[in-house]
Amino acid sequence: MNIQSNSWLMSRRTLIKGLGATLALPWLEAMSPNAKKITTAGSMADGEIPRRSMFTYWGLGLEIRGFTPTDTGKNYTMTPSLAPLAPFKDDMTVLTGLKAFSGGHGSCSCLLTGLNTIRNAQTLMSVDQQIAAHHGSSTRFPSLVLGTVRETGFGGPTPMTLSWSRNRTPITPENRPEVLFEKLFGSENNTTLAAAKQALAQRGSLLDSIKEQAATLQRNVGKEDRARLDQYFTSIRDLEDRIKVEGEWIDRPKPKVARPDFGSHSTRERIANDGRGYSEYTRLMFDMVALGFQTDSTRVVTHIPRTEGDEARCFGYKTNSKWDLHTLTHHNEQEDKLVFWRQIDALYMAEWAYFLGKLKSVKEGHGTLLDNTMAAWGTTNGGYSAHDSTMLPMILCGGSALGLKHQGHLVQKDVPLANVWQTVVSRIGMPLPTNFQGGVATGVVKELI
Amino acid sequence: MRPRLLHRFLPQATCLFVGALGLLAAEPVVPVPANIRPFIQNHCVDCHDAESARAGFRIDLLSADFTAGNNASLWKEVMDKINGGEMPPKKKPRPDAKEAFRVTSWVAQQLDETTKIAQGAGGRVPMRRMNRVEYANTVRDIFSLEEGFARRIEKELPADGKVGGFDRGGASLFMDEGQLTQYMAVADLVLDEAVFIEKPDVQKFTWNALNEKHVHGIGAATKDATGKVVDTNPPPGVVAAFKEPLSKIAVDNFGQWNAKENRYVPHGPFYWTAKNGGIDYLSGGNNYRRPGNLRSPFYGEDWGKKGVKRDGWYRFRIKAGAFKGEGKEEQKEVRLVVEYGSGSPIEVVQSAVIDAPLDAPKEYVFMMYLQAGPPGMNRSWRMGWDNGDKDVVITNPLYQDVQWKPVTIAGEIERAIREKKPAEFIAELKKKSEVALAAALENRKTFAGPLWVYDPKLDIAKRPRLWVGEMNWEGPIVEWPSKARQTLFFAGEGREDDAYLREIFARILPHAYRRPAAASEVERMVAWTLQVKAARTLTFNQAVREGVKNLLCSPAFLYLGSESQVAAPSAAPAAGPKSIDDWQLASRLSYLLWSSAPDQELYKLAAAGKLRDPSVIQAQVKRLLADRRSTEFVRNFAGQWLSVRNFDNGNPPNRDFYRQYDDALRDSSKREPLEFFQEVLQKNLPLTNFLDSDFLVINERLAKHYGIEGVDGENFRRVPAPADGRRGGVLGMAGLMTYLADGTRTLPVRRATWVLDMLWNQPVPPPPPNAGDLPAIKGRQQLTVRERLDQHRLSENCASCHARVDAFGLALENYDAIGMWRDRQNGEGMRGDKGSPLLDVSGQLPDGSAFKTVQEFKAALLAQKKVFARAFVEKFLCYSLGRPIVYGDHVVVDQITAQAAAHDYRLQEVIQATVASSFFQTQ
Repeated sequence: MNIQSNSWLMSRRTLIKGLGATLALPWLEAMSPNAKKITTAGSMADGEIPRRSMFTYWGLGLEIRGFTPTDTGKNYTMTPSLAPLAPFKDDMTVLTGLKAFSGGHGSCSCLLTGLNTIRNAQTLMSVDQQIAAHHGSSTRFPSLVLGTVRETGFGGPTPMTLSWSRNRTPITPENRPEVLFEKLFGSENNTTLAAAKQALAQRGSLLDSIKEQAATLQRNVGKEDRARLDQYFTSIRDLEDRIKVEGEWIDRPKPKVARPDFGSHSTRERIANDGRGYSEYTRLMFDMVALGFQTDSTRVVTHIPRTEGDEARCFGYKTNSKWDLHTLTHHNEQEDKLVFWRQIDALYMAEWAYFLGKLKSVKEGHGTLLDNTMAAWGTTNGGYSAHDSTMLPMILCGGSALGLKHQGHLVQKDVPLANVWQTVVSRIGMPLPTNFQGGVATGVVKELI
Repeated sequence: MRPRLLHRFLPQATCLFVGALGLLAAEPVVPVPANIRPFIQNHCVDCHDAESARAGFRIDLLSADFTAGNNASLWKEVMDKINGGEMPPKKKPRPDAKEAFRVTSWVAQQLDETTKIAQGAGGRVPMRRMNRVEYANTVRDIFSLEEGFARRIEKELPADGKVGGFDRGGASLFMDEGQLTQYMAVADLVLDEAVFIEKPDVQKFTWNALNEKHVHGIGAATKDATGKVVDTNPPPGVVAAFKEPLSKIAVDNFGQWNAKENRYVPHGPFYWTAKNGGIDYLSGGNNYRRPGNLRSPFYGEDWGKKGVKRDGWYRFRIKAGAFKGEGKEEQKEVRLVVEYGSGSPIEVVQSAVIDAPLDAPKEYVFMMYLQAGPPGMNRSWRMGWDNGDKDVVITNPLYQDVQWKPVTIAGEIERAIREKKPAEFIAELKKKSEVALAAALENRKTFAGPLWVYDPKLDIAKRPRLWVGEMNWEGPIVEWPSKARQTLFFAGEGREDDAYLREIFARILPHAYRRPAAASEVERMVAWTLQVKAARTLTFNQAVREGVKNLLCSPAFLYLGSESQVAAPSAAPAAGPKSIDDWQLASRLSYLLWSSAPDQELYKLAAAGKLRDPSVIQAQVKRLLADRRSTEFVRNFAGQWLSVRNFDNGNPPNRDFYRQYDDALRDSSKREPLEFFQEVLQKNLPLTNFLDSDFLVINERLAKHYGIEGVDGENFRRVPAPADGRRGGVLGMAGLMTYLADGTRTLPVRRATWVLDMLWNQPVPPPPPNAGDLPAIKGRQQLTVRERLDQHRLSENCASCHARVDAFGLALENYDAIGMWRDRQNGEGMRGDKGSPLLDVSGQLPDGSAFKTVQEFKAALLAQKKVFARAFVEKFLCYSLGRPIVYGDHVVVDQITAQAAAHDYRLQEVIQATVASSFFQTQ
C-alpha cells in the first residue's frame, strides 16, 4: 500500500476510540481509496492491506516438557501452558524442537540476527530492521523497538535488545507506554502546520551545522578517532533521512486516538517484587503496539516483554512459589519447582493471549488485524533447564491473510529458528537479504506456506 | 540426553558449515599453538578432516585467528562441546581431563582477548561520546543547574553499554540516530526547563489543623443556646470551645450510619487538645494504620498535586514541639515525617526530629527537591509521625462490652452449630443471645456516657505528645532568571545587536568545547544563528537559545578527547604515541575524578601550559580528590567496580523467611560500599583494606545487622571492625552478599566468580550450556549448599575448572543470603538452628594456600596482595582510559603497580601513578 500516491481522503478529525474498541472504524479501512465514505469502508482490497510483523522475546524460556503437546497436527491437545491461547488455536502454529545459534542468558541478541553472541565480535543486521528497510517510508515509523528496560545491555551479562541496525549498533528499546503514545499520536494540536514545517526545517539546519563541525573535527583527529566520528556522521545521515520521511508525512495528521488513562502502572518501576503491576504494564505496552499496527503508524515491532533478568516480576502473588523464575528454571527435576514453572508459564501466556485478542478484535478487510500480522512468540533459552539453545519453542501467530498456513503443533527437530524468519520474510514479499541470519537459515518452513 | 548438536544437524549443517567455510577457504588458516595441536590430532581430526567432515565440520580448516569470519563462534561451539563432555563422542577414547582443560582454557582466553581487541582502540585512549552521567554533570556545571535536575537528566538518557564492566568504553558508547535524537531532546529539556524557564508560578499554602473539618475522624456535637443538639462536625478549633462536647449513639440499631433514632451522651476525653494556636496530640490517637507506614492524625493535603507543576525546590515550614514520654512510655524520639509521591518513582521522604519542647515550639523547615513527573504520576503529600500502635482513647467499656455481647454470643452460636453441639446447648445460647440483645438496646437508651475514655492500662501523663501549629508550604523556590541565563546574557537582556551575539558566543564556546575557541568557530556559530534567526523570525533570546542547543549537540561538546588543538597528523602516522595537549589532559583529569568538565583553575593551568608539569598535575589530582565533586568518582567507579549499581537487579530477599530484611537495610547496604571506598580514598589508605580492614564505615541499621553495639543514627561513620574478624573489607558487606545470592540461598559459585572477576581480574569463562543446577534436597536430608555442590567433582570436565574456582565462594558461606553471619546452614527450609548442619567453609586457593575459616581466607588473599593490587590497577586503568586492558599493556601496568607498591599500595598512589603514566598522557 503506497500512501504517498493517494490523495488524502479523510478530514483531520477522524476519531478513533482506540483501546479495546471493536466498533470504531479501523484507521486503515477509513483511509482506503476504496472507502469513498465511512459507510462504505470495509471494502478494502486485500492487496492494499499492509503486511505487519511482530517479534517478541521471552527470557528464561519455558518448562518445555509441560509446554509441548504430546500430539501434533491441527487437532493437537493444548497443554495447560498453552490453554490461555485456546481462542486462537486456529490462528497459530506451535513449533517445537527448533535450535538457535546460542542459548543462555546472553542469547537474546541472536534471536533476530542469527549469530550474535556476547563473545562474537561480529554484529549483524537483525531481521526486523531488514523488513523495516523494505517497508521504507510507507509508514511514519519504520519500526518500533520495545522492551521492559531502556538500555541495550551491551557489555553486560544479558543483552536487552533484539534489534541491530545496519550500522552494527544495537538499538535502545523504549519502555514507557506514555512516551510511545506521544510519539505515535502525540498532540500536534498546539502547533500549526507552518510551525511544524519550520521546526522540521530547523532540525535540518541544525544537522547541517553539526555535520560541518564534525567535518572540521575529523580533519584534526587521528585515524582511529576518524572511525569513531564515522558513527556520528552516520547518525546525522540517518536523521536527515528521517527528516525527509517526516517531511513526506507532515501534511498528514497523526491518527487521532483518545489518550488512555495510564493509571499508576505505566512505569516499569511500579512493578512490585511479587509481580503485582506486571500485567497492567505489559498490557499497556501491547495496547500501544496494537494501536500502532491498527493505525498503520508502523509495520514492524520488536518487543521483550520479559528479559533474561526480569526474574522477580513473575506473578509471585498469584502462585505460592517461594522461588523466583530463574531459580525455577534450575529445578534439577524437583517436582514442585516444575509445577510452579508451568503455572507461571500459563500466567505469562495469558499476556500474549491478551495481545492476540487485541489484534483479533480489529476488523480489517475480510478478516482481522491478526490475519494481517505475523506475530512471533520466541525465545533462545531452551532445554529442560533453560540454558541451552535447542528444543526451542516458537508460537507463530496470525498472518493467515498473508499466506501463512497454520499447522497446529508442528515439530521441527533441530531446524534452525532462523528458518521461521525466512518464512516470515517470504510472506512480506521482499527479496531475501544476502547473508541472511549469518548463513544460519537453511530455507523456509515449507509446511507453513 | 541432550541431542548431539552437529550430528542431528546433518543435512542442514553441511550447508551451514560449508557456507561458513566457504568464506574461510580464501583466508590462510592460522594453526593452533603447539601445545594444543596434539589434542586436536588425537581426538578431533579423525572425524573432522577432509575425508570425514562429520556434520560438515572440518577442524583442520578452522583457523586460530579468532578475529576472522565466524571463527570465534565456531571455536566457542568446540569449547562448549568439550566442556559438556559431548565431544569426543562417548564411544571414542576419553581425553585426559587436564589436556582437555588446557584446550578449553585456551579457547576461552582467546575469545576474551579477541573481544577486548575488538573493543580496544589499538592501545590508545579512544575519542568517545560522553556517557549519560558525564552529560548530566557537564550541563549541570556549565549552566549551574540543581543537582536534582542533573540526576533527572541522567535518567532521561538511556543507560549506556559497558566495556570491561565500566560505562566509559568508546566501543560500547554507540552513536546512532536514536542517541543523537535523545541528545537533541535532552538539550531542549535543559534549555526549556532550566536555562530559559518561564517565570515560575509560585504556589503558597497555609494550614492549621485547628481550622479544618474532618481532620481527626472523631466528630463532636454540642447543644446550642436553646438546648438543641447541633451535630455538624466542626473543626477542632470550634470543638475545643464546646463547654460540653457530645457524642452520638444510635438508639435503634447498632450501626451508627443508618439509624433513625439517635441520642447524645457526653463525649469524654479527646486524644488531642487545642492549645496555643495549635493542636497538642497524644501519642496513640486516631491512626491511619498501615504497617510500616506513616501514621498520622493529619490528612495528606493535595499540595503536591496543586503545587508541584515543575521540578524544583519546595519549602515546607511547620511549627512544632514534642515530649518524648516518660518511663515505660518513653520513645527514642519524636520524628516528623514528610512524604511526597508515596510509592512512585518521584518519591521523596524527609524527616526531622522534633527536639523543641511542647511549650516552646520552634519552626522546622524542610527544603525538598521535588519532581513533577509525567502526567498522572502520584504527587501526594503526606505528613505525620509514628505515634505507636495503641489507641490512647477507647470506647467506654461500660458501653462497648454491653454492645458487643450479643455479637460474641452470635459467634458462639455459629460455632456450636458448626460443631454440631446438642440442640439444648444451642437453645441455651440463643436464649442468652436474646437477653444480651435486650440489654444492649436498653443500654443504648440509658447509657449516660461518657462514650470515650482514656485506656486505663496506659499512663496518659507519661505518653509522648506532639504539638503542631501553623504549616506553610511554598514553591518552587527558584532563582529567576536562572543563573545560566544571567551568565549567558552577561550584559543584560537589553542589547540585541550582532556584536553582542558575538560576545555571548565568544564566552560560552570555550566552556562547551572545553578549550579556547578559534575566531572562525565563533564566526561560524554567529553566522548560523543569525541565519536561523532570520529564517524563523526569532527574537534575540530565541536565537541565542538555538545557538546554545547547537553547542549541546555538536561533536566538540559531545566527544571527550576532541579538545586537542594539536595539528592534524600526517598521512603516515609517526611511530610511537603522541603527546596530548593540556586541554585534552584537563578534560581527561576532570572526567576521571569528577565525571564532569574542568573548572576555572584547571583551564587556567591548561592555558598557561603548566598541566604536564608532574608536580602541577600531582597537586591537581589532590585538589580534585579533595573537592566535593569527587563523590562522583566514588559513585561511578566504585559503583561499578563493586557492582553497587546492580544491587537492585539481583533477586530480592524473600522477606517471609528473612524477616530482618527491610527497606532500611536495603538502602543502607547500597551506601556502605561507596562510603567505605570514600574513606579509603580520602584517607589514602592501602588497597588491601578492600580485602580486609580493621574498620567499617556503617550506620545504625548496618550495625544492627552486623551485631555491633553503640552506633546510632542514619549517618555513616567509621567504627572499628569487631575483633572477631567477621567483618572487614568488601567481602563481608551485606549488600554484596545479598546481591550474590538468590533471595533464598547463597550462590557460592557466583560469589566465587565475582571475587575472581572483580578483585582478581581473572574472569572465569562461562559454564557450558545446560550445565544444570544443584541436586535437589532429597526427603528430609539436611545438606549444606557445599555438599550439594560436590557434584562438580563427579565430572572431570566440570571439576577441572571448579576445583580452582569454588573455594573463593565457599569461603564466604558464613554470610547467608542477606549477609548475616551464620555458623549453620539456613535457607531452603533450614533455620540455621541446632538441627541444621554446621558449615564447612574450608578450602584451598589455586596457589596452594589452605584455610579453614573466612578470616584465614582473607589472610590468604592478603598474602597475595601483589596479585590483587595488579588486578585493581588493571580495573582502574580500564576505567581511566575507556578501553579494555590487554596483555600488551603489561609494561605500563607493571610500572603503576610497582609505584603503588613503593607506597604501601595506597589508593591515591594508584591514581597518581595512572595519571602520570604514558597511557594517560598520550594520544
